[in-house]
Amino acid sequence: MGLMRMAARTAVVAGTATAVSSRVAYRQADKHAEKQQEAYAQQQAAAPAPVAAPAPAEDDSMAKLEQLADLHAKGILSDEEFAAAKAKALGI
Amino acid sequence: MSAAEPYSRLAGVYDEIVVDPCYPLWAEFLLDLWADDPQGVRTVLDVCCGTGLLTAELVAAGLDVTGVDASHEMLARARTLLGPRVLLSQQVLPHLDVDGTFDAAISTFDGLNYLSPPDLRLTFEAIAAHLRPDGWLVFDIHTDAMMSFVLDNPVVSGEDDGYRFVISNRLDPGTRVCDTTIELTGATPEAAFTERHRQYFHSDAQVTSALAAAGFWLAAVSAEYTRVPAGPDTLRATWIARREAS
Repeated sequence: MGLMRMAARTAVVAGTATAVSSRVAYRQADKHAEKQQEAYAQQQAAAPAPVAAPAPAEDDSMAKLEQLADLHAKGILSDEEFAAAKAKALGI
Repeated sequence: MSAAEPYSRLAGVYDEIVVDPCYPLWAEFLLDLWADDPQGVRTVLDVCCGTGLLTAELVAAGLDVTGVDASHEMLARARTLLGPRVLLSQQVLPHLDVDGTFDAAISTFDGLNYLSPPDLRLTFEAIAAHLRPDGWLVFDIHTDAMMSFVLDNPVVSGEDDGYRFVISNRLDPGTRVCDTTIELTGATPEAAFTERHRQYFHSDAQVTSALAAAGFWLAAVSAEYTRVPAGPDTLRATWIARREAS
């Protein structure tokens, strides 16, 4: 159906999702965007992939903007949703 | 306000506010997946086709698609979108009365999460009976990460396309049964409705054993219509199974 996806999308855009859950949702979007091209290479690699270093602490609003841009690029956020969420992240 | 039948009212706003533009990406993934099949995939059974948005993508790619769905109202939208030539049929799973044998069956946007575990088994068997040997079954369902998300965010409200909505979930992590209520209000009193939906968060073990019992072998479980293996953060897992050859 999509009600849960709709809820997740809404919660993330509004910034009301719990921190843990929104990280999960963001990571999902990040993976979707970034790992698609690397997928084959990773699957082919016989050795286990190195464990990714924890992401360095970033300015919150910049990290959020990047995550929103990913969601927008993947089509999960419409132009209007992206614009609204961006404005919110920038505090304008 | 009494609750309407699932999808009877949601159908009217489904394409506008529920879905996001995921279907072209999902169709691209499916076509790429099937391109490697030496037998070719020309006929597809779209199980829980809804308003037919993905059906339309596959039809546009030249595939011969038959759509089934439990909701009369969703099928009516699909008929408008797809025109008279695509075969559409109202079927309440696990009952599946369609003609022919297909190269592939799909069920997208967590349609199979509407089935209780016993009905999921029966549905896999019914689908297997309509697939050729080595035929494909590709579907997506919610993951445990989605279950966590729902538990953490039981009530979400928002506004979209002139509508206000509240989505409330009552999820029992023990039984993995989730009752979802959507209350929607629009510009006019007539636009308002409440619907209740019941979904089942199937465990990986349940799905794996149901597939095996129905004569499928599991090729991969990936993150939402990508080649990336599903991980602990995957909210929507895509299961790729093949019918046993004999």
